[in-house]
Amino acid sequence: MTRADSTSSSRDCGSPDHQLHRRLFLEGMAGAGAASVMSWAGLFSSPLFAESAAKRRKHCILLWLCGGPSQFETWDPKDDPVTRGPFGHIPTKVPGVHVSELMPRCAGMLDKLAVIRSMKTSQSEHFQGIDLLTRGDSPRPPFVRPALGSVLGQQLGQVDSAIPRFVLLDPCPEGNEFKGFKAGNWAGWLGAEYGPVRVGGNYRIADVDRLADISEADHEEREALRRFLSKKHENDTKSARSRSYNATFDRVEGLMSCADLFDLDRLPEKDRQRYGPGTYGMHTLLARHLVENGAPFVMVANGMPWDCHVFNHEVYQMLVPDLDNIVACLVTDLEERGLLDDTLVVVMGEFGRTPWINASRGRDHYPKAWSLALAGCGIRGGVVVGETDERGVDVRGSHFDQRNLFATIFSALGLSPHEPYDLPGLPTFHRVEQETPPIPEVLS
Amino acid sequence: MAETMPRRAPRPPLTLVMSLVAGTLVASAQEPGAESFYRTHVEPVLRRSCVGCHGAARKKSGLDLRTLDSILRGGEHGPAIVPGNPAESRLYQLVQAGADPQMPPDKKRLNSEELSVLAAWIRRLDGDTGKPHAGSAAAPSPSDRSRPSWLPPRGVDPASVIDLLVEAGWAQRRARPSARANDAIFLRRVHLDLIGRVPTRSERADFLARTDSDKRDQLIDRLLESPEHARHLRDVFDVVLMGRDSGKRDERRSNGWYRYLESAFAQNRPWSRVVRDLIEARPGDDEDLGAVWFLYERGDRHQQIATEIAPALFGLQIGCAQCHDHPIAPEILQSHYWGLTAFFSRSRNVRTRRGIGVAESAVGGHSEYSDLSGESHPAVPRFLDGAVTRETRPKKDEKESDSPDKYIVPPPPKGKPSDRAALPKLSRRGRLAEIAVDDGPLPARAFVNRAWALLLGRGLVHPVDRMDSAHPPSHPELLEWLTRDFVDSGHDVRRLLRAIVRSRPYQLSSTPAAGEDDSGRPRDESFACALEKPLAAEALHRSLLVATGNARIDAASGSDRPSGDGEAPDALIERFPTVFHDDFDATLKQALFLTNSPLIAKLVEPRAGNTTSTLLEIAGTPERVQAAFMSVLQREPDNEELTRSVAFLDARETRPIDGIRQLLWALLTSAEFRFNH
Repeated sequence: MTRADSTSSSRDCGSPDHQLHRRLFLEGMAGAGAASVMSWAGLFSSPLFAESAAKRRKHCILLWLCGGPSQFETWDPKDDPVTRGPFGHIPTKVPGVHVSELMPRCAGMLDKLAVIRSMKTSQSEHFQGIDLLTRGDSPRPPFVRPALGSVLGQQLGQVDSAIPRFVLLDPCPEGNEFKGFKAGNWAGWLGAEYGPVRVGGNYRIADVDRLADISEADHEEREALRRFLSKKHENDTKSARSRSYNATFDRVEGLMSCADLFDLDRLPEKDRQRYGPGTYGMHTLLARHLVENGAPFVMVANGMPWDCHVFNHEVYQMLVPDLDNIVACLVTDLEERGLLDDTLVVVMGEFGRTPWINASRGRDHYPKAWSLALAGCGIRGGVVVGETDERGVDVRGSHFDQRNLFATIFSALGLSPHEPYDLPGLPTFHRVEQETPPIPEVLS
Repeated sequence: MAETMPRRAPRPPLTLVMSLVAGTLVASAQEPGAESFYRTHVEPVLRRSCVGCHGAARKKSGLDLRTLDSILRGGEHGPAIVPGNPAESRLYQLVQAGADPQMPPDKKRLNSEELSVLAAWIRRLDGDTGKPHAGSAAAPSPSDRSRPSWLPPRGVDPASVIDLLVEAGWAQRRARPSARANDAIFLRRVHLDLIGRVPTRSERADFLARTDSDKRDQLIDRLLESPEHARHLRDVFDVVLMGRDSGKRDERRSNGWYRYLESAFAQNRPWSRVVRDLIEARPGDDEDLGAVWFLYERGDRHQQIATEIAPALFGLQIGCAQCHDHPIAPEILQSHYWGLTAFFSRSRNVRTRRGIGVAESAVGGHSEYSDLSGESHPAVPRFLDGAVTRETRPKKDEKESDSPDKYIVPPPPKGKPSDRAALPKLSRRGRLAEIAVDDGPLPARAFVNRAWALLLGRGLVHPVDRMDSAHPPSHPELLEWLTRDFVDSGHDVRRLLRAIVRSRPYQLSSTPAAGEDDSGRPRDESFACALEKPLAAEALHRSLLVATGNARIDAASGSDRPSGDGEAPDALIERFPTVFHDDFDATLKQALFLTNSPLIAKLVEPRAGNTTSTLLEIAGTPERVQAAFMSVLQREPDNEELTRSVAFLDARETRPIDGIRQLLWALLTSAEFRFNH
């Protein structure tokens, strides 16, 4: 696969956005009466058009609850004495629907969220589960399917935008199997340039600050000289390797110019208090800020705290109210800023947890029947899809898997879910294989 | 770039017969037979759409569509194809629209092009064999299909054989070779490849001034003999054999690993012996103690040892065979994975009075593994080429007795330290060394391919650690001949490297020949144009030191060769770790580092004797620019570069240090410096 191929496919991805641009353009022509009146440049510099184009730009924030959150202490509480644990449940804004009592704020705005209670997947180990739920399909070595962020970054990102297309906010470099996963190949067959820019905690983006002993003007001019010399070599050798090398320098200036966007200290104290005090909240706030500034995809993670084989209730008593607050803040903020209609929020981990409590008062991995939540862009609020039996042991009726979920995510963002990848020399892969349908109930 | 240098020294001419035979070779390779049609057209279709269910992991209906052999054998429902008759062939019938069952199920149907490929192939099978049924004997098995029918004779100068066979490939691929690289480019290239750094200015001046017709060969010999060469190969093979792990560097040093590797290359120890040293971990001299670290660092994790030594020593990735036979390389079986593991399953790390050791027991290590159907199989020591080590396996519940008479070096009594690690008379590791090194070509073949990849930027098999039937070599005759020559020479590493760097393909320019347009370059695997090789951390670091004049000069030896270990900083290793790239992708992390890290900034600060302060002493701006280009890129700037760079410096006339630092930065971070081209 060459770079040129992947760029060209990102320019013509079949997204309705492209057609819309074209339609607006044609309408503009017709309105003007004569083609000569309006130039391309004029069209795009028209403030009205630019604004509407920016508004239509889609984003996605993935609140990744690594380790596998319990469905019973969140979206699918039970009364069964074996399953339930110490926490009760409370009614929500949607009549007849209850969630865990640890989530009062989300209960009060459940009309904005869609909950899926009938997820059923096949992997019960972390690494395989993370791989499955971040890429959307089982591995097929030696081919590596790109992670959701790489695909969306490529599809939703703007070619000339300075802001990274795939940001991974993850303050904790550790996380057992998650650590191993993070060290691997995120972007797969799309190529390394679609991998995440990782930021978090006290490790900012490395080497992003201009050195003190060089002025901004000099910095720019020496880069211009470098580019001249280096492109000359690229042109002489016609080498893809030189081209790839020079292309990374083209992204340096952009990333340096938006480094401030990653600076939490620049955000209002009031916001930080609302989302805080935990790091997960801080990074969700940062995700909102990045999306407001045009980032197409931000994944917020934090080690692997949801993996509670021991003292499940004690830990969840801290984790869930925090998450409840964070999700509520994020969805409310996006709505207030007029961004919710174009920003998809996904709240999930790699599987759920057992309907029984183990000897260490923990819950173990359980992929057979679990829950997740969606909100925003293209998602119908106040919907609860599917149900589990009284004890939460299995899904009642039809279930959904990672392919249904990914088809839903792509559809909500206006991307054709079954589009084949253009990968010369590789087997035919699709965004979602086997033409698996999205979950119709949640799509508005 | 006109070639004005004298042609290289003449080599012993090949016989006329050999050239004639090579002519036939080219001719026959151009004729597309059923076999090559199968490989280029049919196999990709089957792999894409069929072998998921009819392959290694699953063989639905007993049908295995991975090889010509197994296709002809058919499945439970009889033969999959009837040679010569697509309409009668079950395989072809079931992929038609509306067939029952229609294949592939639930998936996109084969398109019309794929259907016609299958039809054409089945029809051709007849025409090619002239028989109604092409029996399995007529179909070459996958391990044979890359086996060439003709090889140049033994004992010929290997560089000539390389030229002959690569040139034949150009004709076959219609690739137009680049011109020969000029002396300055060759000098830089061969320094980076053989000693892991760019040449100094005086080394350059000295080489260009020479007029001997064989000066390139002389230079090659000098570099191969130099201590820097051994150090460079140490750096490269540390990564190949152990992988990057910054946390392990101190232990590797204190346990003599680096010393062992470096001295093995300095002595030009036969590669077969190195492989034996590593597998047996039975050091003779104290100098070889470090070889033990190869197994020792991996603890007693026997599966990990098997998974990692297969690519490092034998050029094969076998990790997926832990659970099932290889999905696309049918010769790699699950029993190979567990067989290779079994050679190590009696081993255990110990401390001896001499230091670390890997003891081996005379008994035990009889584990079992289960296949995907859940059936259990004994893991018996078995090498990748299928060779099995016969031993008596105890019956279930039978206890094996261990006794000192089964050992050359018996294990010490409990709690007592010993002088040497336990060594049984029948050592599984010893047996592996014999099978792998003495009886089979795998380590030699893997080494030849790696040496080629190191010097040419891509293996004859690519990637270098996938030398299986799914990755046929670009030049099968050459790989075969070089492997045989390497074995004949007693696994002489230096002879092999010398032959490759003396060859014509190695010495080509990296600028494509005129007329190579559409994609701009001939295909990488034609070796018709030098590939750009990205510098890994160590070579990049040393080259930065040399170019900025910060390398320490070794006055004692009288040459200005940088001394000291010159170990690269962690920050650089973390960002430039890869030596053998499967596919090169530059990273943003690297570009940010080169732009903003203090590392380069420090190197271009003026310091006594370094490049920046030398440039400061030069009076005229054009002369300064010329000296800067010469120091960093080992060449003169062209007019355009000179004009731009002079203007750049003149704009900083009042602050010359800034100007020079920034100009040097621009040169050091240019693609021309980043790659060995």
